[in-house]
Amino acid sequence: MPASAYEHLHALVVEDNVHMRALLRSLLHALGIKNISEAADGDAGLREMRNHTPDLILTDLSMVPTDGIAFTRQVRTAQNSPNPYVPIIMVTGHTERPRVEAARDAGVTEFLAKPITVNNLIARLAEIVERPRPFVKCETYFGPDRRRRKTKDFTGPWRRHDDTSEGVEVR
Amino acid sequence: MAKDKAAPGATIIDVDQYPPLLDEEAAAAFLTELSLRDTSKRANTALETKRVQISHAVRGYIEILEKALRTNDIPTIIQQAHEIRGLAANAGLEAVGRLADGLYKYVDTATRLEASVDAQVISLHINAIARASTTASEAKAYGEAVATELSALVAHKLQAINRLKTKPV
Repeated sequence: MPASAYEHLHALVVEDNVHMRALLRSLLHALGIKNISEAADGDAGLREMRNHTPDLILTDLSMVPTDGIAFTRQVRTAQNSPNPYVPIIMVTGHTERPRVEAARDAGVTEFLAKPITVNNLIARLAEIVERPRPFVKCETYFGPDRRRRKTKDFTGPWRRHDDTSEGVEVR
Repeated sequence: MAKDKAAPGATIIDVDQYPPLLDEEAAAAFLTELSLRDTSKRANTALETKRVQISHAVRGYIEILEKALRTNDIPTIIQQAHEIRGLAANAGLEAVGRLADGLYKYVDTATRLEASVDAQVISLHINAIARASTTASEAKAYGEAVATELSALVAHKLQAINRLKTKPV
């Protein structure tokens, strides 16, 4: 299969630390993604998205003035978002669980834990290519389906008309 | 039965209803590329090259942090702790990252809630960061133990700040 089949793939890296940005760029390039844009915070990321619509985004969580959660929410729900379905991988380090949950609820597709390893990054990229997730749209959420596996012990909350007591699919 | 309990329904947008990341042929080519040993070798070389640069950067941030401790420059302490916590693990200095994270959480929270900061908590963290960053073995043996102790201290301090700030007037 010719490499040119995916050569148009464009990634956006949103990260406030110049060294971490360079690391992510370097890794993506080594993995075959040649078109990479960068932004130092969420606002700059949104501006960059409008210039070069990316096919996937890697974003940090803690940035000022606009962090990765607010950025993700904007990408998913802003009226003028260039691509609300774009896969977003959030790079997380020493973060409290509530912030990670808030990121998930803002519509993050995958999480990549620090320290960044090649195997973990490959696994996240493969996941978004191999197993794209349906999107869920409701009053309080727009983003990838958060139910990842079936569980028979799930007792609610029942949010969907097709949820059944036989067990729901939890992604 | 479950339908009776259902909250207002959500609309599910299936994967074939929005544009794919890559078409089938390109996706297969990309997955093949990702699975190649050469690809992962190339990426690991890139990671290793950057690790040296990151390690230098972290040591530079630590120097600024130590200087900020001497001048009691709180905004710089917050800024440098943030930089270190994000980078240290990729320089192989996980304990330094944990210590910087604790320092950041403590000083940032106290400052945002306009509580006074305990200078001893700050200096304990910065001295531990400096010591844990000296060598890899030092970082592991000393850093991990101190990071655990200090994270308990930070939790205790933050609880006290929260209690004080939520106390009814």
